[in-house]
Amino acid sequence: MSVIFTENLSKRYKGGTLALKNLNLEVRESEVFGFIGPNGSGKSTTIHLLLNFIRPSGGSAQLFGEPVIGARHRKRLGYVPETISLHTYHNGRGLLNFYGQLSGLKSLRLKRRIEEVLQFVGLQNDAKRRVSKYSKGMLQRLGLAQALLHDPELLIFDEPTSNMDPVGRREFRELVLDLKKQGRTVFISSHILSELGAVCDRVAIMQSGELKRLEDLRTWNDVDDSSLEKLFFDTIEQERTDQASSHQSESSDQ
Amino acid sequence: MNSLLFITGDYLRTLMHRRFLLAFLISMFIITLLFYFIIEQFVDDPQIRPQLFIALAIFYAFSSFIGTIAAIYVGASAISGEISRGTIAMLLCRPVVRWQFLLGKLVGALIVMLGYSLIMGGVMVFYCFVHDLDMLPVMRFAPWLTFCQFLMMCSLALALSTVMHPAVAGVLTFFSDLSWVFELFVRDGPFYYVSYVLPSYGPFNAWMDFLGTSSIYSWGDLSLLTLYAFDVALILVLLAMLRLRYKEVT
Repeated sequence: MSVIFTENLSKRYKGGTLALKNLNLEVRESEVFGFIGPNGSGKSTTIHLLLNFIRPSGGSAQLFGEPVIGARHRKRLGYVPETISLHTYHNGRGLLNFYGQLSGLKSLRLKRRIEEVLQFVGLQNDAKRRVSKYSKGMLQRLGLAQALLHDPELLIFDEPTSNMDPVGRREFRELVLDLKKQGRTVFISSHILSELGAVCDRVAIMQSGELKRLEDLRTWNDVDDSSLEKLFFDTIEQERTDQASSHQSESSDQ
Repeated sequence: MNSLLFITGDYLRTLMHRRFLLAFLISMFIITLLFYFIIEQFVDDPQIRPQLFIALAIFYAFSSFIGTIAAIYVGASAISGEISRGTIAMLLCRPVVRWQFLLGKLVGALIVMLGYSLIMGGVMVFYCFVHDLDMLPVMRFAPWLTFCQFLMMCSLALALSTVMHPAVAGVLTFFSDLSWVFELFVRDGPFYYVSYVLPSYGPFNAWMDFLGTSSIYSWGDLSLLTLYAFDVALILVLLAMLRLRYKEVT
């Protein structure tokens, strides 16, 4: 079953910038999917389209077989944005309580889950502190806790480790492996390749709003950080060479 | 429905966090004290006693003015505040429909404004009672009329803030009573009737009626004005919902 499905998904912003061009993507159940590309390649735009924060200019997107415009399927997904902006006047526990209520968790289960996720992200001792007093790293952890709170089947991470220290990064990698073991679907957008090679089943390489390559890492004999990096740079270089040669042929035609 | 209530509760909490409610209550308290001292100065003078309604009207006008500013603020910042802080993403990635989000915010804003209108009415009744003043008929309706005015302004500020900068939305809302333009410049001819469909808060300014020229006589008048206010608010909220449905929130 496909958890994420897009068909010719495109997005042109008001200024005329084409941020995403005919993206055809399928992410299957229990898969860890890496969505990589340089800055401005359309990764965050894709995630915002999947979450219905912005409207597509063309094509369609589905989550769990339903159009993204509905709200029901969002009970089944957790989202960690690149920049975590939380309602800072709550304390840690109060914030999770609020988000849990919005996610439809009932009182007893909610209380239990709050304690579980607080312990999981290591914030149980800071749960009574106001969120505005949290450090960047703690906010990142709290952002992770709110995404895991309602036990979602799909987790969407947008540049999850961009503000993390090396320890945080390693912990994040362990978390993804743990989620993988539990059979969750994980969609990670990142430009930090070292964190993806070890955890992803498949990766998609984006550049200039286009899907350039889709690779199944499970078919590789040996996946390490450098092999994914090589794949990425080969793809980018290939694209640049193609573009340069097409420019050259255009100018020679003229 | 539950999501709507959670968002309402959270908005009230936001306003408290911004010390908004506190500042609001302190302003009210200062006005009440000033009003108390004005009344105390004149209440024993039998010649001035009939003029006390002027003091009452001034109190009510001041309170209404503060209330209007507050209504515009809570309306204009309800949605735009979440967008500018980026916290809207954390709400809309959950099973919350955008209209629930908008209505939750509006209900939170209206709870605050209803409370404020009731306090205004309470203070007015208290002073009339303490100083043995006969209440005018319009005073029975004053808090509700004031709330109706807040409802319209809050809805307008909310609707405008979905299409423009909240500060601009606030200023436009403040000057949105346009009926006077037609009353002043186009007193005759077919264009005069345009004033009937323009936003008008004049009849809701109950304090004007404290000065003896009451235009509100019965519950029937009140019902018609209530209908007008809720009609205006409904149209504005529906427009805001439509706009928010297609609004890009990143």
